[in-house]
Amino acid sequence: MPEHAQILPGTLDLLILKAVSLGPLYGYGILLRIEQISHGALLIEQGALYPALFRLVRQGLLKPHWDTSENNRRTKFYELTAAGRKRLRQEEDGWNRLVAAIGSALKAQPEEI
Amino acid sequence: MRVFASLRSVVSALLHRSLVENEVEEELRAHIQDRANDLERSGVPRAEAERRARLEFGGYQKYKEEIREAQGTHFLETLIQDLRFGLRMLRKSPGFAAVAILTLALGIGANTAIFSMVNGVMLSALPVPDAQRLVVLHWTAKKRPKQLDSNGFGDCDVERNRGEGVASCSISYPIFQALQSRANVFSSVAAFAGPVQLALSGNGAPSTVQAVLATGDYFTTLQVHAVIGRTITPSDDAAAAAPVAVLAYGYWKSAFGGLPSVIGRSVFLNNIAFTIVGVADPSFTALTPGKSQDMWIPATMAPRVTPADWDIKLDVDHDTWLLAVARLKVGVSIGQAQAAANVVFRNEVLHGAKPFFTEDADPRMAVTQAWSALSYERDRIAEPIYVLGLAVGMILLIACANVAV
Repeated sequence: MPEHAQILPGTLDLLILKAVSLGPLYGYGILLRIEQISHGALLIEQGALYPALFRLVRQGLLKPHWDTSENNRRTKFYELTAAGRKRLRQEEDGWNRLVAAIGSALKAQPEEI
Repeated sequence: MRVFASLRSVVSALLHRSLVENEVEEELRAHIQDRANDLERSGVPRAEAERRARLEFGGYQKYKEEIREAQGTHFLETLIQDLRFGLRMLRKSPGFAAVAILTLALGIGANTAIFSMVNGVMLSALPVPDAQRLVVLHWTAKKRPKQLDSNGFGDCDVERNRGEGVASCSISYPIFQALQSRANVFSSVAAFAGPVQLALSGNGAPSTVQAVLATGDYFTTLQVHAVIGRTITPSDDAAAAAPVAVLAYGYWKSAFGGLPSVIGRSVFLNNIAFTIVGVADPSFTALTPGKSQDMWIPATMAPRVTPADWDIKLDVDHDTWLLAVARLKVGVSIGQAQAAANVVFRNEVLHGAKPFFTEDADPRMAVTQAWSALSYERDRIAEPIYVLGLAVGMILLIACANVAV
């Protein structure tokens, strides 16, 4: 089983956006999907999801709507807005650039200096 | 229309605050239930599943609080955003800003002025101590008496002729005397009339003054004192007494320079010599709100100083010209006072020396609190003030609408 990595604060928002980008989800479903796509490597305290969701809705990146779920319960679903989609792309690019930069920095060999 | 949108969101935020809280609770609890269900499905017993689900969720109250805080700041954030936007708009068009500020200032200013006036007029108290126990004595009758010479000065508003019947605030001197001597429910009874306009000479250039005729007990009934000298006493109001005058404070300042040497000076009112014996307390501008006078002189001087065509006599029942004001004795209610005064009144007008009502006219005396009866100012100003108030209110509304759009 892969090691559990501590989730960095700002990245929770990114993970939520990614999870929702794959299809509208409700709170618990978002949690499951994050666990799924990160292969269980990323731990978050479940309750922390909700302030983050509220923030993202406030910032206009997510849009909530009430609907009935599979077991006929009134549930709040979230989906990505256009602004959310744009933000996701930006964050992904930024993240990839960061990873590439750090990765190459870490690969530095003594001869290259 | 951004204003309306903001207004709507503020109102809905305030109204739906609890609704949103319920929704949040619903969502969080649903999450925990889902997690418990999943755990149960994977073989964990229900009770244990729920416990673990709650544990994994973390601090329920903490997260609820975080959401609530975020909501609070959200409200503040949007407010600040709107304010900033508004300020930017104003800075971009200073002309509009100037007009908006001006119209709002006008609207607010006018409303404040009118309200102060209303406050002053409609809610003003009488400028005498213990005004609650001061009452006015007035009367009604179903039929007009054969002869009624009435003089009123607008102090009290029950004066009106209702078809056959009559209601009046004015009484005659003999009736006043009867009430004063025989109505035991009052600690003192006084009467006054006026102001009447008199020609004054003996103090520089001749001028006209407004003088109120007051009976001897006037100042004691009202509990008004003199700031220098003395006030009118019953002995001044006797038939053969030397005429005296008490000056109003304001008049003393303006016409006599506020000099104490005015005491003992003589002036001529309608060519009759009066000695100035005192100046009234500055707080006593007039008994009836809205009226004013320069001085008070004894009521018994009335036949000598009033216009000849008024033909006021002190010994005739049908010459009604005085407004009677009395102070209730401690512990006496208005109802009791009214009953007692009525008895004296009816006695005098039906069975007195010169009765001037017949039984079938059913004359009755009524007693009303002075602050309510002395409605001179309210009567004059009430209607125009309401109209003005309404107009000014509309102006403010229009000003606001203008700025909003």
